[in-house]
Amino acid sequence: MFEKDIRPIADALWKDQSKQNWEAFGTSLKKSGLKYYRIVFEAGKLEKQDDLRTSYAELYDAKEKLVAKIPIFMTDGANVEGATIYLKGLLNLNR
Amino acid sequence: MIQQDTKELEERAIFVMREAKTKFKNVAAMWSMGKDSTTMLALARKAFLGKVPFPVIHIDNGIDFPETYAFREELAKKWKLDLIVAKSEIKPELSGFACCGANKTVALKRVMEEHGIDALIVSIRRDEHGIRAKERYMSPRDKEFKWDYKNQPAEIWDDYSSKLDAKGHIRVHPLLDFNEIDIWQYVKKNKVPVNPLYFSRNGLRFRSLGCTHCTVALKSDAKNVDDIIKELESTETEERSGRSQDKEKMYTMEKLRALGYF
Repeated sequence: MFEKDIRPIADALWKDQSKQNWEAFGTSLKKSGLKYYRIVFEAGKLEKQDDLRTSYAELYDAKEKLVAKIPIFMTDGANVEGATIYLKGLLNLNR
Repeated sequence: MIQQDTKELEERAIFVMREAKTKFKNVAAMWSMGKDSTTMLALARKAFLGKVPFPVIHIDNGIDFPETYAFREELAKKWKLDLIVAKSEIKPELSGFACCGANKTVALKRVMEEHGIDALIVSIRRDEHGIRAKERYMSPRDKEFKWDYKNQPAEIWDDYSSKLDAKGHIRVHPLLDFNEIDIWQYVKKNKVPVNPLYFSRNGLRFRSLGCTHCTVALKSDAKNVDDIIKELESTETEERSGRSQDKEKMYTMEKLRALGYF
């Protein structure tokens, strides 16, 4: 299976969480061979907008080896939106 | 956990939904892609000859589980649902519960106004939470979505309230009498599709599903519906013990519901 390295796109997402970058990530994810994700949320619960910015997702391959970390929000001007829909196809490792 | 006759529960739920469809002009249903609201849609398909005859609303805060989004798309296509996705902004200053409470209620108000919805089917159950036990099958909300739970109409002899305040709406609760285990018995008996997150992986599973930030997995080895039923027969853990908003003050849920949360 052709596996695309997702890391450059993950790096780009940390710099800019625009919709355009998320769309590119979604397309690359399908070819990446990644299988699992884990939501890491150290704050425990959302109390301020920044808590969302500090939470992230870890992406794992089929052998459960950590491949990349990505943010889980999308920015549109001053607005911050969740972007977990772009992880569709991966399976949860929080359980 | 007490188990009831699922046939009897099904008949009542179907009756309540048919009543709502007859009494109100624009009915819609909330769908969170959890076991309860998906069971409600399965019941609606039985009640209305294989089709869900009203729109289903998902209030999307953008941080639901990816499996939940995949399940939404798969089932919406398979069951030909008229799906309305209402984006809910994440503004913690609106509420202590950044992805619930006021944020979701704002999105719901917007979508109900846009579509002129006067009755909203919500899949809550009395056994979930103390405040939900106070609900009626048909429960009026005022134009601000507020619920006067201290002054509710009686529902004797299946006579449900369909009186609408100006610009208010009615919440319809067809699953009110179901227990958690009844839902799973119904899922098993009727092969209702469910979100895969309910099943155990590495000794953990989600028993009540919210978004990625308010839902915590609980210890469980239940890998299929039969295992879940077996587990529930002897459990002493509360269903929503993995949901963060219920861990707040006991009356927080009461406040949220009184202000329009579903």
